[in-house]
Amino acid sequence: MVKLSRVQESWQHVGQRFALVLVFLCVLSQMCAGASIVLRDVTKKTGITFKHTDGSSGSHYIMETVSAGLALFDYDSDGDTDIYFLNGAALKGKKFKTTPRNALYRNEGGWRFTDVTEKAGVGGKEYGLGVAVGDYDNDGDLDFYTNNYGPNVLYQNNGDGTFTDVTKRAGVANGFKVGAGACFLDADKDGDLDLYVSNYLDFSYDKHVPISRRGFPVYATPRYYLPIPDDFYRNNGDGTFTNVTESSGVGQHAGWGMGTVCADYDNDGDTDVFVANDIAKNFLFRNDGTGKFEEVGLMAGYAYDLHGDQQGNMGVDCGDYDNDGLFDFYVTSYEDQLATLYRNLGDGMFEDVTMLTGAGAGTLPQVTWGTSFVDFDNDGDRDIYIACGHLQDNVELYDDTKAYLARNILLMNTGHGKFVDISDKGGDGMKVKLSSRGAAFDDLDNDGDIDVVILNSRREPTILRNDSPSKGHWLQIRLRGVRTNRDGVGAQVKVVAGDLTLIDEVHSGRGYQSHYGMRLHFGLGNRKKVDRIEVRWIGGRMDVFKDVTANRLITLTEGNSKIEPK
Amino acid sequence: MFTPSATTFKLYSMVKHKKRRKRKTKNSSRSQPPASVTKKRPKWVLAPAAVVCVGIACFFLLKSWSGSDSSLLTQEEKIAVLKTEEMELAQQLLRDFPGNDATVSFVGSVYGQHGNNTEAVKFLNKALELNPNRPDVYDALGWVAFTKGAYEESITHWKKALEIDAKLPGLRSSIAFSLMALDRGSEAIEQLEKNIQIFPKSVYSHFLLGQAYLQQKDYENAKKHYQIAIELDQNYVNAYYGLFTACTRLKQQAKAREYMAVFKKLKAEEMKFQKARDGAYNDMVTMRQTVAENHIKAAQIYRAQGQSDRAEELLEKAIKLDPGNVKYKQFYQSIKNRK
Repeated sequence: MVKLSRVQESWQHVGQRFALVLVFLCVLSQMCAGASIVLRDVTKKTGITFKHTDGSSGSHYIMETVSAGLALFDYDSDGDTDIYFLNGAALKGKKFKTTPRNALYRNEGGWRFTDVTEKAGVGGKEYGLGVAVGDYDNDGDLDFYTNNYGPNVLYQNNGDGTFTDVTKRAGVANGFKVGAGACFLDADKDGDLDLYVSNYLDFSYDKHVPISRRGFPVYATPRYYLPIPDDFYRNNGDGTFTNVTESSGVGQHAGWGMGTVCADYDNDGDTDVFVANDIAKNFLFRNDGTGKFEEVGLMAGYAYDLHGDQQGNMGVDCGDYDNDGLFDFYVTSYEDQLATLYRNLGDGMFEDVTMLTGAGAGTLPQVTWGTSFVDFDNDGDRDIYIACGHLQDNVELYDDTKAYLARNILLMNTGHGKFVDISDKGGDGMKVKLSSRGAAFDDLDNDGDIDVVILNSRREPTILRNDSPSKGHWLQIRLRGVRTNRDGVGAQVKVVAGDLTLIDEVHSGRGYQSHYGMRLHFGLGNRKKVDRIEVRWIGGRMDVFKDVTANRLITLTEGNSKIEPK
Repeated sequence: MFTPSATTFKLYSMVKHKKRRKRKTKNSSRSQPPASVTKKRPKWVLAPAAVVCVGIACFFLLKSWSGSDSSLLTQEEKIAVLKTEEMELAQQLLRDFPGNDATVSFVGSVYGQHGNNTEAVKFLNKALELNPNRPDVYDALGWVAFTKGAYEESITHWKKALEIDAKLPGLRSSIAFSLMALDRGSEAIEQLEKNIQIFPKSVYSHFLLGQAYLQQKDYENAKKHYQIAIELDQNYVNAYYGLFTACTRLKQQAKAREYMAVFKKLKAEEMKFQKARDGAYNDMVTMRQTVAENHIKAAQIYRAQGQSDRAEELLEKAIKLDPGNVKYKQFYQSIKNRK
């Protein structure tokens, strides 16, 4: 046996210590991993004074508690994202000194926003529930549609910062229903955007059901009201729409519709419709490519949760959380139910992987609403944000494990198909306790990471700036359709950067009755350039772009191989 | 005997206050107004004013009777009275038997029903201090933790319950469910296999075992246990959904469609049932049933402590609250017979 000299021994000792320190640092970095996403509450400095009202007067009309969504979009095409908040209106028995209205805030940069509602002519005084944005007339600016309790409204963008209410001419008022989410999509691949309108239930004041629980007046379950089918409008290409609800196959299915999102889940080149239904099975309308739909939610495994139970579904969004090239879906729900992650298996089927992935963490005691898959830390995988807040404004009186005002949830994707609840470490923005409904996500300050705007019931909104310390690279892509619809709604984008392949699609209307994310965002981690971008436009045309440097916003135009910055 | 407390006191004082107002109205109507005023007032104004005064007087008179007859209280007020009675019953029990673990645990459960889970947990823990061999208390604590989404904590409580009584039904299934929520599928399977050895006919355990195997992608075993579940209960709707899923994954499409057809049929019936149940829901009736049940539980404690008369009194009250419940009447009769 060879004896080590003293010097050798001391060097060995130092080596061991160094190794220990390294191990300690590794463990520490793992422990601190939760702090990689930081969202700061900057609401006060934005100058936004909007306050939501549900128009309630104590009668507990059912639509009060499901209001409302919001939209993030660049209404004036100046390169930054503006905010449109939906608002409630006075319901029976309620009077306001100043009539509540929706509000449009122009992004001035530097986290300052100006109320331009009056100037733009979009101060809708209807009872707002859902909103979708899309250039329905393909004239190069974004129009939008509000889905209300009462007649809906289509605002046509005049291109000069103002809008015109063209509902009557377009024929999309949709009667007098309790609305929910809405989506623009090119269902028949004819180059213009059709309109899917989700309807909640059949309500009128004489049908109102007053309910109490342990002596406290509460909002009734939607089961007390009849479900109604959603509506589907085909764009005639001349500024008008035709209601094709029956002939499209949508009208045969009545549900308590809420959030909707459209996406090509089966990669067959056309856009399908996903509807989150309250207290009943969800709908998945598979498009046959001509704008005719078959409801396949049950057979696809999207209708119910793992146990075959229907949930009080609220919002729905899609994204490829496991980077396998397929869109997965996240559906929010009622208390004592887990918000559900449906993994796309690629054979037209979904699997509820909520418990396997930890994607339901923190959601069980909450009523959950707005949601999205967002790569907040630009590390190349999508995290999940969930807006929370109980539906019953007096829930604490009969159950102190629940709360009307609640903190939202932030689930970080570990990159290995699992999620970790990092809400407690996610910055002061995650400590805000309000009753959130719609949530929307976009890069409000054009700094390469995604920020958050939340509409809170009966309160001011919350604006969260993404201050994550992550130095991950990123790429943002805006699409310009030429033969297809102007903003590439429904077009699918594949980004390949080294070993990383990401997909996304342009959606109009998503989450909880909201709209956001028309410019696609890809977190790239430590990859400084993108090797290849594939854009599959609606109709099947494919454009390929190669060697794109990261950390910028680019515009890709259909049929044009040139990459335009911004 | 009805004893007023916080909320009821509020109600009583409301009525008393109205009584005082009523008296004031009467007095003022009796007192003569200045002649100048009566002279100036035309008769057509006086007549409706008199009608209004009489109306107001009648309203307060009727309201004043509501102290002795609660039929004029709103449903909300009636429920508030019931809840107060229920809490007073619990507090009285606590005063009578402060060191009794059954009492303390009962008080905890009443707090839980009142939505005050923080207080409920305090009492449940106190009950365990008095008697650590209470699996039902650990079970209750497990559920409180579970509803908060604290799965690890719920498992700890349920495992403690299991240490005390290994054969308590449902415990292993509950543990397994929490384990599944934590993505610890193999441990869940272990618990459920053990449970099935003890309770081979537990439909839920077989169903849950199917779920656990499904999570592990062991579709053959999942299918096997779903099938046992529907053999034991052919209307177990969720097991058909499990069978549909397992068969689809096993590429047994024809079988999957078959199970889906049954699932759809049973699900439609379930939805119909839920709609009827919601339609029939009556907050007052439900509240009376809950309070009645708590009177029965309290009666059992009094009886166990040798206070049969008090137990009988509470049973009578329970029967009054829930007159349709045959079990209560039978229980009452059995006590009477033994006497």
